Amino acid sequence: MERLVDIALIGTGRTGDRQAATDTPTAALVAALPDLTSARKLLLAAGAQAIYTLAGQPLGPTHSPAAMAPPDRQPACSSGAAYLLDQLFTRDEGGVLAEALTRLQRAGFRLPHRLLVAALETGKRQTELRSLLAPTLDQRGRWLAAQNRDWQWVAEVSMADPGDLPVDAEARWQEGTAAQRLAILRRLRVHDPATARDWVAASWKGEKADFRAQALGILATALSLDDEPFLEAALDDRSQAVRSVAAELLMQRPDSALSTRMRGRADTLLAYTPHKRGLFRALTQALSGNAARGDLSVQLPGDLALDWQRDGIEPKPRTGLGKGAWWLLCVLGAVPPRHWTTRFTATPEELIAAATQQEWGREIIEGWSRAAIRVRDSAWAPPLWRYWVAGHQPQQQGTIAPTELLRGLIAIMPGDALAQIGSDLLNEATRTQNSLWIEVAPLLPTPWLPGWGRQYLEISRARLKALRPQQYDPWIKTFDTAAHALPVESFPQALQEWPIPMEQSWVAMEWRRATDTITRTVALRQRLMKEIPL
Amino acid sequence: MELTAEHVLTLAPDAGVAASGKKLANAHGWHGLGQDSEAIWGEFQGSARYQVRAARSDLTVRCSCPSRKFPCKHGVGLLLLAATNPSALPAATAPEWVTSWLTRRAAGAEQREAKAATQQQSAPLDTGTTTREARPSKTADRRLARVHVGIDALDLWLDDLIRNGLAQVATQPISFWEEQAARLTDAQAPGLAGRLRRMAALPNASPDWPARLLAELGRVALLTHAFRRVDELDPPLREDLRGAIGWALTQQEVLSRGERVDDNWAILGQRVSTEDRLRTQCTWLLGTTTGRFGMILQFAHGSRAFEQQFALGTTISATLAYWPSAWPLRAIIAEQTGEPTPLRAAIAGHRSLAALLDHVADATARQPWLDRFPAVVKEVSFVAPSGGPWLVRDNHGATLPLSGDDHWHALAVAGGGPCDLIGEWDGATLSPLATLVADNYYVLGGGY
Repeated sequence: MERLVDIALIGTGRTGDRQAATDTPTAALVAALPDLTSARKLLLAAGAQAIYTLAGQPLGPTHSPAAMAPPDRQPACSSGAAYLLDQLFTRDEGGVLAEALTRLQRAGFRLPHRLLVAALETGKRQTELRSLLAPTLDQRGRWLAAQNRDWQWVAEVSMADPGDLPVDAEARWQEGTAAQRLAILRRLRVHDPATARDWVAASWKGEKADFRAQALGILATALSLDDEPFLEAALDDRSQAVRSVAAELLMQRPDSALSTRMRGRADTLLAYTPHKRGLFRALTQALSGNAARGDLSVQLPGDLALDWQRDGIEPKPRTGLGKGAWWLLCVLGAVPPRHWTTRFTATPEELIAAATQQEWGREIIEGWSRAAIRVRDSAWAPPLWRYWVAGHQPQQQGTIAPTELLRGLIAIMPGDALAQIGSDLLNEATRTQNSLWIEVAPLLPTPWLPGWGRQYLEISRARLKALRPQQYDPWIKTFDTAAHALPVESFPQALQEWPIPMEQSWVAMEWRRATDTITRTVALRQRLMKEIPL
Repeated sequence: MELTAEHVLTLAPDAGVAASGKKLANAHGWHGLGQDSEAIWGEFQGSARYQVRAARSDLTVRCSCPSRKFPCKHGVGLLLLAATNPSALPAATAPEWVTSWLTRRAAGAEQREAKAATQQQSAPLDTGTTTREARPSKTADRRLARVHVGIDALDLWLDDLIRNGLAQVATQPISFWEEQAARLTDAQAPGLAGRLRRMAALPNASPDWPARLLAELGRVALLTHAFRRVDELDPPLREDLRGAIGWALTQQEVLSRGERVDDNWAILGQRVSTEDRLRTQCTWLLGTTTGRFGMILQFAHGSRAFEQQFALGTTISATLAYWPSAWPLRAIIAEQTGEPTPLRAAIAGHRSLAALLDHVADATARQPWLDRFPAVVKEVSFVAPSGGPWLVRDNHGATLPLSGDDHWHALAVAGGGPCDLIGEWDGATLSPLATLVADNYYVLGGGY
């Protein structure tokens, strides 16, 4: 064929009468043709050769048997569950996929093989689902992922479970990619915190700043005072990112030297004088329900000493705050709030009440809130929450604390206090249109308590009944959250019909969209629970 | 209904309809759901209330919504509901809007059969000449003459091309090919016109384009050469040649003249290709008793729907009518009885890749213008690429390259172990369409 192509490229008009022959049996066919132009002969020879090639296509080289996947350890989920999961991989309905994967794992099932590619691709895109996906892949999925660079995340995530440490762990730490090295470090830190720290320390000088910061962050697991000398040294690192990780870790240990230094600084900033505790005062306080109020006096730091800065106090204030107030907030944020109740012999309620009388009250209380969240002091959580929520005005935005503060407080809130908070907000929502529940609902842990679910749905149905055309009800915003937060006890109530007026107003359309979402998602979750029994 | 959700989803015309269908199958908007021995039905409350019904026999769906997709999302939703949650559709008496549709369908089918029967009587199969020549008409003569004129002009053009050298076509615009193709269309040789249009994409498309182009030009030259001596060929090959030039048989002609084969047909796999907004759907069938392959081609413009629906991985009991050919593959369904049932048993296939290639050589020897061959090869494994292309390996160790670069799904379901490959061989690579792993059927390539 190559000769034919050469002649054809140049053109038979230029090559003259050169033989358009091939070294295959088709040559005989061409030779047998009657008088034809050389162009025609070449074409027919090429056609015959093409069909000859098509018919005689050789096999490829032999290949040794490929490695087979090891047998799976868990049974596959039911085909009904597979059908739902397939649907969720295509389009997740407000976080139902995460719920389904968690349930699959708890029930001890794996994904069926035909969903593995979808699962691996989902993990590639959505990093937050990786740790939920990995346990459902089983042997087949891990075997598959090991053959595709796009699916490296499986090996990285699987290494984070506290299972066996691979035998070549140290080699991986020495030679792997950044992600692999961090994964192996994370795993080692669980098994053997001291060795993990030694590894980081040994290679410390040669690492890039970004890697140093991430490796240091891993020491948050199993953090102890043994880590202190290393962290203390890291406070003098070249990189700002590394310095703040080191400071953050030391702040999490109230027994660290840094925490002691911070307490010393904070003591120069705050002083408290309790009111005399007369019988009469105690009586009036008990009657009025107000906390006893002492006096809190504040001394803002004038300038930032170098040792303060070294311990992680950011010099540059947040927008809208003066330097002094900002440094005050940062220092207080690094001191466990229990320190104040002991030092001033006062309850959190009393101290918060005193702070509200202060010009810098908001900054003080924000500092206390950050500190409570940092050391998970749940005794302070309810009064702090009450302070932030009391600032909320129904028709006004922005008086409430930053979302991450509220989220943090909810995370450390004792169970009974949390239950109370939920029902207080819902009670408020029965009275006022612009309820705080709308802002707080997405921050609450899921599934909601059965009591919340019942009350929430009652309010929702009442609000639907009160629907007025052209008047948007911000409550509609909560439906997307509720759809995946409602507890199983509320499912029947959620699935009852939502009678939307048939009018074509945009408000009715919004309600229809919202109630469709809740009905569809809850029905989906109900089927998931049936298909993946625990 | 015995089918699973996976079977039903292979009916969806695209991934969007599949996804919406799944959503509707869970939705609460259904009213008056029911089923009997012939049909399933329900009304769906969307932006209006739609009547959705499906025939059990061939899974044809009819919905009153305005969607141009077929089946529409409501249809897919209804079938999914029937497959995943059969208790939602109680046995009931079909309402009027279902029975009247079934009656109309039956009437239409009878009409088509009656028409075919009359043609069968008037045109007995294989009289040694083609039908057209058996019933000479002025139109047919005129067409033949025009085709000959077109072919003469094409031959001159081809010779010129080779005389002046293929190097010059590298810089030619698309119109260079398009003009010649248009002339062939005018000469009523659309088959040749299509081959020329496809050639326009070859120059500069790959390093070995001159060889590819020359091979295609050579095959066209063989076609025109053979057509000048068409009367010397065996009647079936004559039909192939006429088909390749551009004479098309109508379905009625195929029904009346084509060979008929009764069997339980496994719906093996499907491929859709698009050219100039014309979508061509190729569905491969395999007779579980006769071992015969059947290729059902359907065409649709733009977003229009294909007329007939096939659930992949099922078997249907049917009579196929084949286009007359030296290697009959293309067929239509002449008659179908009963509902589709899931494909559960093993299917027949080649035991080695060498046997597949031998079979391809046989077929090519009989019908040299075949482009694609159905392939079922038993006990092969997929091999992920290490430097080269994806491979399929038989249990003798021999390999063939796979087309495309994503066969992860095949690897996932087979786990590197033995499976049966269902695909198409195009002379250079295998395109997997489906696989059977321990008698479980999986759609490959573009499956959702």
